[in-house]
Amino acid sequence: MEGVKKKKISGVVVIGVLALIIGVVLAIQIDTTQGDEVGGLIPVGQVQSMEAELKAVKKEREDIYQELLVLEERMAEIEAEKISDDAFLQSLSSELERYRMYSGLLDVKGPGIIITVDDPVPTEENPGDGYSVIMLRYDLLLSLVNKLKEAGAEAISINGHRITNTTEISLAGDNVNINGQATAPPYTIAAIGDADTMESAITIRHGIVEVMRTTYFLQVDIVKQEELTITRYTGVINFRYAVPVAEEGGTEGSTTAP
Amino acid sequence: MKAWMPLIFLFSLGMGFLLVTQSSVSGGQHLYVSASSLDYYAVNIEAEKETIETYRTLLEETRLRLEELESMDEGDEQEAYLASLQSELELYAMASGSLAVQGPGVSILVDDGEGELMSWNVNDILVHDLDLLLILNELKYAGAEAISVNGQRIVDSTSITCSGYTVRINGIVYAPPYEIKAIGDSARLSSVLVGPNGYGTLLSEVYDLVFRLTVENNVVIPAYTRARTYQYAEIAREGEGN
Repeated sequence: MEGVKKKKISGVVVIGVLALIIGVVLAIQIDTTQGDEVGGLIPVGQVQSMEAELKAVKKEREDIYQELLVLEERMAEIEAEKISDDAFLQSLSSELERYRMYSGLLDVKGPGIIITVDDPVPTEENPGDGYSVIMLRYDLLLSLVNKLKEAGAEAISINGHRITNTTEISLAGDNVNINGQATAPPYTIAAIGDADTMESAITIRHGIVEVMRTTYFLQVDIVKQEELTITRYTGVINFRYAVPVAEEGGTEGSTTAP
Repeated sequence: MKAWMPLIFLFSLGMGFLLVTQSSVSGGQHLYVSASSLDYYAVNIEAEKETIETYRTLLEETRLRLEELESMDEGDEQEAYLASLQSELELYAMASGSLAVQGPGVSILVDDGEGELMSWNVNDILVHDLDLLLILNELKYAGAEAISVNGQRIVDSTSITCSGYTVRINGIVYAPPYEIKAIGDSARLSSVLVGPNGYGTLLSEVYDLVFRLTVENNVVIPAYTRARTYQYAEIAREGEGN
């Protein structure tokens, strides 16, 4: 009788310990899943549907862009026909194309690099605070673009937004706006130019990429490309305040209207 | 009976361990992502949609222009075409910074701090390339239509780089003070820079640099004068891939 009772007691103890351990394990598990980042975690299925939607709109954008290119090609043909026998019109037209090129209004292609910058992967030591590092430190993007220009980049875009002489990168509420449009990580910076020069300009010791990686734990990925395309600036250009300075003698381009 | 109890104990312990390890591994492989990255997807999707809208507008404009071109009859088509070319020429010459422009705006003087060095770091009272970059960025954000620094027109390829005490702009080296001019809505330009959270306010009040903004009725901003050549970039036309 006594032996049976003892067995029963130790059985209860063991089960109690087991329940305790399972409880602890559960607690730890819940803690790691929730504590990683502020805002909680989302099942991968939801992300996949967002990813699919993003892919779909990208495809739609690509389609409409191709449509535009076809139309422009036809227009270029007609224009070429109209100016074919007029040297003056020809020179005007090529001058116009130059200015459009300088203004970032033409799609360009050439060799270059593509840099991808994304927020740090949250780890146990560095869980993050739920804010995007690269969005808060958008000045890093500003510096990166500046370094690329210094290294001779001839055309640059961030997430498809062409960098022109009026492009701002600014924190607006929860978003970083570029050319007035909201953007979010990951940031893909494309630059046409000498890929080696640009790469070494940004990966120099204590340079911008090292700062991004070691100070801010950002994920930075650099890929050199034989050829990449950077699309044009699609915003509206109009001047409400600036007017051309009238030059004596009246050079081309200045207003001749009374 | 007693023999399997420690076994169960060990087994459960192992199970517990596996559970915890599994959950952290899943995290590492991004089986779960943070809530904010969903927001980012939403923003990026929205951005694509906006781009699609701008392409639609461009498409419509091109269509109209094409009709216009096709409807021009032989006689006056050259003249009409010439007129449209010339108006575009001026707009894009201005946009590219190839024409000197004037208009209302602001002028800003930025100089190294004059006060005593309060901290151990001399950098705190010097004007840096990043300061200038951020000032220009704020001006652009406030809708500046044309900007110059020490007479150098800011164009798309302009970089501002520190080289010691000096700063190189459009390939030319300048030392402080820096005079920045911008054409635009002067009220907006000044409120963005010298408002409570303005970068100019930060520079002058926290870093004790000289930052003086003056509203101007008319500022003149010179044209970009250096030759622009493209060694790598060429115009991408339809039917050439991508």
